[in-house]
Amino acid sequence: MERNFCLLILFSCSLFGSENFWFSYKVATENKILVYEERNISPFMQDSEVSEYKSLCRIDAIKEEHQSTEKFLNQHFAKLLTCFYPMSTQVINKTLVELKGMDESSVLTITPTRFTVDFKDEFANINILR
Amino acid sequence: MNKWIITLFVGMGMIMLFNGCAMTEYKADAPVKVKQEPKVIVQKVSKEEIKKVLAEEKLLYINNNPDRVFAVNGEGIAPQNTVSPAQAMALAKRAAVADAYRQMAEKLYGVQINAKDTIKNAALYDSRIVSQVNGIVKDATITEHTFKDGLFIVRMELKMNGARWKEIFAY
Repeated sequence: MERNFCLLILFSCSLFGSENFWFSYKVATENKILVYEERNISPFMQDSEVSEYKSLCRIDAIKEEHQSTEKFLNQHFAKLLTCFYPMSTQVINKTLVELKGMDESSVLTITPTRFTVDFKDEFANINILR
Repeated sequence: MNKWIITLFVGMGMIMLFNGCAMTEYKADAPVKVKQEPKVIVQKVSKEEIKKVLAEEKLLYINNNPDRVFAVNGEGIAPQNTVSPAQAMALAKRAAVADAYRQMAEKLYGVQINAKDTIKNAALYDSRIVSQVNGIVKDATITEHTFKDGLFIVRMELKMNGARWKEIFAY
């Protein structure tokens, strides 16, 4: 029963999980030093009916033959992050100043955004879905 | 005498009879004079032309409200426990970007400040100031960045139309 259920999940992944992904990011700093980082790149598990794409950026890198798209995106995460910063970035900051000193903490969150990867010969186009 | 007077009147009558019609020459092709009314031009305008005119008016409106540029410098420090200088730089950059976004949100939305001072025996015993910032920033771009002596500095800019800024943030 469990095996069938797992196979069903894998089958539905391959059926509906296309090259559409979710991207979200969270970083926490304390006194201007990074203390926590959370990166999320996951396949979009629902069949998308959105047909409106907006070009976001271009990653100048070649995808290897047997490399998965997720691995490619994780490999070039720094470039991908730079693309997503101007999207919708939420910042929450709290600064405490006392007689003995001060303490500052910030949490920066890039809200989840759907995007697609379009691989060309020598680069990959990142498009966001609206 | 009467004969001469009658002949004169008849002669004048004949002259007036034959010359009267000849003075006002009739022309069939001559334009008929009509009383002129003030001209009203009715012109059909397409939707594209209306859009163009509206865009031009909007452009004039934009010109009256120039773009505002908000610029901040965010700073980030590399942690002590890093494996390599590259990792230190990458982590310092993330912290610097977060700091820049914090400053940008401060400029756009303002800061909420709560302060509490405790006085004991006519002297300051304790002071506590808490400042909080919470906001969403879009379309901010990093224009410059430097890394020196473990400190990463990024310059972030946000361009916004003056009218839009007044509409959203001015209070």
